[in-house]
Amino acid sequence: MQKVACVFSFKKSSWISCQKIVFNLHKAWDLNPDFELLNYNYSQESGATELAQTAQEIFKQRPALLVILDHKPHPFLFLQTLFKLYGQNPKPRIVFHIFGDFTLYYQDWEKLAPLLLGCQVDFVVASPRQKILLDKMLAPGHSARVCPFPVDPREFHFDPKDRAPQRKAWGIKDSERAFVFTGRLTRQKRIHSLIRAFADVLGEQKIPTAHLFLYGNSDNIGDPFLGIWESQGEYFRKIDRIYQELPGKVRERIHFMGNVPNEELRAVYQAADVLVNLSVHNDEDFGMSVAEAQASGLPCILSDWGGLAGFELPQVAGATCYVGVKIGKRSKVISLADTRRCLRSHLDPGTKLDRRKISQLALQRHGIEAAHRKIEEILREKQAPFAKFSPLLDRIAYKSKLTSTLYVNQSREITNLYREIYSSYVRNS
Amino acid sequence: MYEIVKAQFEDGKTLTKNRHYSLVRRDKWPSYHWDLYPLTNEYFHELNPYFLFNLYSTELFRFSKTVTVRDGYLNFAVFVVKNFQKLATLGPHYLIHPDLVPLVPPNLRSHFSVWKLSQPRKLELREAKTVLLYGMPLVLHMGPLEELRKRLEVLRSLREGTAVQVFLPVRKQTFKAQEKETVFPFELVSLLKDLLPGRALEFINTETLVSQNDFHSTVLFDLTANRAVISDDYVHYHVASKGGSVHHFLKAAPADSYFDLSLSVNHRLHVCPLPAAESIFVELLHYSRTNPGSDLLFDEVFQNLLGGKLNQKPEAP
Repeated sequence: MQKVACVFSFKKSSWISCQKIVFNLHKAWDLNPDFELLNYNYSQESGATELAQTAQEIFKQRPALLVILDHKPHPFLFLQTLFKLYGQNPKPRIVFHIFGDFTLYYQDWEKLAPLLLGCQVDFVVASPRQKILLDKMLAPGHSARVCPFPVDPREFHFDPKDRAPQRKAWGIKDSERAFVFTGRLTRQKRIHSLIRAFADVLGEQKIPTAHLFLYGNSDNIGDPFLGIWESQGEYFRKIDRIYQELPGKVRERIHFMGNVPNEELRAVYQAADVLVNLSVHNDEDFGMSVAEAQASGLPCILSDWGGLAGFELPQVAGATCYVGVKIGKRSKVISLADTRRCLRSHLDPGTKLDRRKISQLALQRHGIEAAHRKIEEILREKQAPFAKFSPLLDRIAYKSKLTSTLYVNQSREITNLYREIYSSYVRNS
Repeated sequence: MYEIVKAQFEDGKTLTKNRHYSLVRRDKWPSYHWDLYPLTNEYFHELNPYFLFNLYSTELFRFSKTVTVRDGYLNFAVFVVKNFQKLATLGPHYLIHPDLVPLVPPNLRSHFSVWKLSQPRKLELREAKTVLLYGMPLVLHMGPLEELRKRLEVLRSLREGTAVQVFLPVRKQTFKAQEKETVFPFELVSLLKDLLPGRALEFINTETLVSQNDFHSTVLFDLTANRAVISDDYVHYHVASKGGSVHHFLKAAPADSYFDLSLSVNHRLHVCPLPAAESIFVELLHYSRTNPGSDLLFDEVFQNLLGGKLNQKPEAP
């Protein structure tokens, strides 16, 4: 048995999707019968004494592998404490599961580089586009590996018996189409664009045949990389104003549902006909809600941005419809024409896709078993010992010490530095 | 009134809009604003939610056509006593909490409306999976322990299995001329243990509370006795806007609401006409005139006078 030290916060992340991700990644690691998983807490609350004790315990166990499963807090302090104990002794192989917030912590990653020098290190990202981004941050000779964040098939799978009761609870007819969004109602998820496009498409119909259900609470994250900050409540008021200005017959078909527990989303995905997610979030390295919806057999309309691009299912025509995104002069621009086209393509109540097949294919790709196989594949290969991060990461880390607005100039135009990083998130970069 | 409120809503120009952040010199705010974190955190809606004690210049008063007043009755009383002569010309229409109505000078009633908050999907205490007990553990906020005990009897009816979280942000004593050592927070915890025997109490800190994104199935129960310090508390806003229920919010829209807007998916603000109430303004004015050297906000006699007068009135929801 190989000892594997899994390090994560025992306290749940305030990011709901991250709670699931850590839990499911752990399940994927646990599938390997040759591994003995040893769990260690490293949370925001961990004080110096607790940290030192944890490091001591890990050092005593001398695990073959050290897996950083969580995104918060950044592992710099933890590894600094642990590696002091190792001194010149050989260190374990380190696997970092990289989350979307990698780009928020350049300075911490830069500080970590000397500690990792000469170590066997694997940077594991969740999607092909995140790999493009991360490879830009790694020196030549090192590249990130892809292991999608897994979905537990026991939680999310095709189960048509849940459809009728949920649609009854929504109060909609069999002949009506249900579009659904699940996640935070936040500027970078382009909820305002979704409402507008949905209203446009509905307005084209003599008798409206669709509903849009928006699940989630609003936040005030704004788009700080692009110089857009919001007060608490500001984005909600923006979308509510757009909503209130719509004609009554459209308004009655857009439903703000608030947050519901994850387990209630199972029935929501069965009852819905299409998931819509137009995110252009800077941290959109994967899309856990999309993975869960697709595992439930739901066709998706997605922005062609970041991790969302990794959900294409060419084996089932219409399973995914992509909305073009480009990095414009001042913002990330999604194509409203594409959004309307995709919405229209799903309006016909006669459209029947093989949802069981969508679910099977999605779980083959994003299930816990698939993640387990990916992890094994990653561990079979060895990369050259870690030497350093790329000059680009060093440059960003240095600049971020000097200014908090790295990515826009004084005229609020997007800088080349932003394009250099985030061209990874758009098609044909 | 309606025209002013509607015009303000359509204009939407407010001090808490992020675009206007840099217009405000927050270093000019009184220090107690920061001592009351996170209760005083800022948030946005078009009717300009703000603390009058932070409006340090007439320009700021005139910035918007309305102010949704967040102050408690102490600050509001001091404000009207100090400003009643120029209040009509200062600019905005004031939206106040119903408990503050008796403080309005009778001749200035047309400059005021009241705000109320509702949650149509509000859960009752017995429906909650988690009850969040919250309040700043100070006598000024919570009142005497014996009275608090009576108010908290309702907690005995919580379902078995309901989780209990407790958020008691310990801060400097509000509006006390001299800081005195107090054992009130410990007595409060002892009281809670007494009222909820056998239940595990999970104590949370401010960081945990403000970073929590989901309060689904949670009911916030405010231990605060009155609106002495704050009438519109950010903690209520935070919990409600993240899907939680606030025990004292209305379940249905008030019948007299003449304007309303959603503050989140989960709660609404209603603007209503100023209800009839016997004004105690003249008594407050008399006190201030006969005690010219007193800093009313920190004057315990004034605080008691005000508390006594207002607590004789039936509490508005």
